[in-house]
Amino acid sequence: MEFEEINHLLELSRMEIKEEEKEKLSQDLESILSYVSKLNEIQTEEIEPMTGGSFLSNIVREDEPEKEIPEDSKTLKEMAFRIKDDYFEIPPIF
Amino acid sequence: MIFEIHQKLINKEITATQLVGDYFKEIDKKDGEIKAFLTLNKEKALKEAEQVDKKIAKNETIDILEGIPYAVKDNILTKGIKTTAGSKMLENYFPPFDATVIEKLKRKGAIILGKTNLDEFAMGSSTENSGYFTTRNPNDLERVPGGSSGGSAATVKSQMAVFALGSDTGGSIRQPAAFCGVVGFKPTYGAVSRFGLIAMASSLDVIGPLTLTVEDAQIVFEAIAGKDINDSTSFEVKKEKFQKKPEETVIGVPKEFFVKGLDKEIEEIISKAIQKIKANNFKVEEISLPLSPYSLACYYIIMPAEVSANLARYDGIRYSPRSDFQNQNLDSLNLRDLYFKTRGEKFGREVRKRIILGTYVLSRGYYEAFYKKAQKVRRLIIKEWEETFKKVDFVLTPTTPTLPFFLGEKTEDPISMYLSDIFTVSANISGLPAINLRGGFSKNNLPVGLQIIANRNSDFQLLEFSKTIETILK
Repeated sequence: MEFEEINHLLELSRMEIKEEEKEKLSQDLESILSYVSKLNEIQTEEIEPMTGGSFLSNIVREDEPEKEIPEDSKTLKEMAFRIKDDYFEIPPIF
Repeated sequence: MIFEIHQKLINKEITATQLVGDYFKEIDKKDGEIKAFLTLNKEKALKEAEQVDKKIAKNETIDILEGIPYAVKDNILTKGIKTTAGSKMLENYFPPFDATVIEKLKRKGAIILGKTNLDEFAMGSSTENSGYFTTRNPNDLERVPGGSSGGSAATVKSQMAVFALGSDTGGSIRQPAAFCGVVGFKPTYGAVSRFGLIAMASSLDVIGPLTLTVEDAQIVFEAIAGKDINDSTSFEVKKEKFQKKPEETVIGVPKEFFVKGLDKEIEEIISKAIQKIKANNFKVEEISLPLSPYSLACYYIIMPAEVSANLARYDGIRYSPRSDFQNQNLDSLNLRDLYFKTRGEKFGREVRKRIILGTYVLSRGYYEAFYKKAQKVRRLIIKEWEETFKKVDFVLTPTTPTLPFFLGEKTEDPISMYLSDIFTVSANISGLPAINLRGGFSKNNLPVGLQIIANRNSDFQLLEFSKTIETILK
């Protein structure tokens, strides 16, 4: 796989990797893609693709709050990058 | 084993406190070498054991799992106990709630000893991809315990826990169970709630038990199974027992699983096992599953696609990965840099590879050729299994193509590592229940696993049947 393509995928997945890692990554991706392309041996015209892992459908519930969870929300805050006045604080977007 | 310990507890031959203490002694003695645990829960465990002892002293009835010490794969959320998924991304993550399976076991009074090592985010077949350290196989410390539930399998084998929970996305319970020589049960997709399981590939992930006996697997499965309001793919599994006589039971052995690449010793041991099963009047038939050799290719498209979506949540803002940015003036940064740097730094190599692969197969221009193609093949594979179970009751295969391999043996070649899952992955693609049983031992005393696969939603029948096979192979 071309480095240009890898860079594009890194951009899409919001991830950086070291330049020296790209060669091995490119080789690995090539070998995996060549392995999975054996699916082309199977005729799949007119076959409806699967979605998800079960045949259940339309499982819905009323969207109502169950209970207040002040204790949990406190722990959630402890897991944040930074907190300011009860809000998550993040670096500027632009 | 659980039943026997339970008897000892209620007959007051041993207290829960002693029991838990004994297990921590075993851990102290063995885990320095095996390295199965990432985190221990000693203080809380002993406190909980005291509570159980109080109940027993008052002659109150206790549940069969009450006071039983167990280990939990570290991708299952435990409230107040650090849960890392084997990743540096979650090195300081203390979950605010319990996974449904943990809540259920807590209600029954089972006691958590600690959290076990795994390949980062359950991606791997050897635990060598853990962000922390590699677990070793208790049968031979120079070999891998399998993965990704390698820590859980090793704790059960070396009796550092009575049972352990694992998760299985492509074989991650059964393959390490085979490598360590224990029972590993992957339930039907949805039979056990995934709520609180750190998601890898949501259409494939299942939680299940690793135990020393099939009976124990059944006790644990009964405790954790069931429909859960917090997991819309969960359902109430049928509780039918298996009642066919041996001469009415048809066991299919697919010829596609006995081909080049299968270790000769494993082939011999499985053939011997089949002979023993036949000698007990079961009908064994050769069958063909022509699509099964394509399951792994199908898996290596669908799984990374789901991984790339599921792991998008790790953005450096939530789940508390400590980074150099934490104390910087925020105005000198921007959000984009925080994403790129955190994800680049905190995810290990295999995780990054799968995210990139998943992003590729879902991206414009490749979606049809890869992702959609794989989803079509997935439907065909499911159909093939459905047809198979019209003709046979169970399917029997080897669990793994090779014996436990040496540490470092397969880390450089992704395909050879991925092939470890070639026999287990079909059950995930099709959502079927499957179990690893001890099939025998190789000449140099390494365990060989035997896999039995059953139809969707016949988990209890599979377990019942497996008890018979376990006895036959003893």
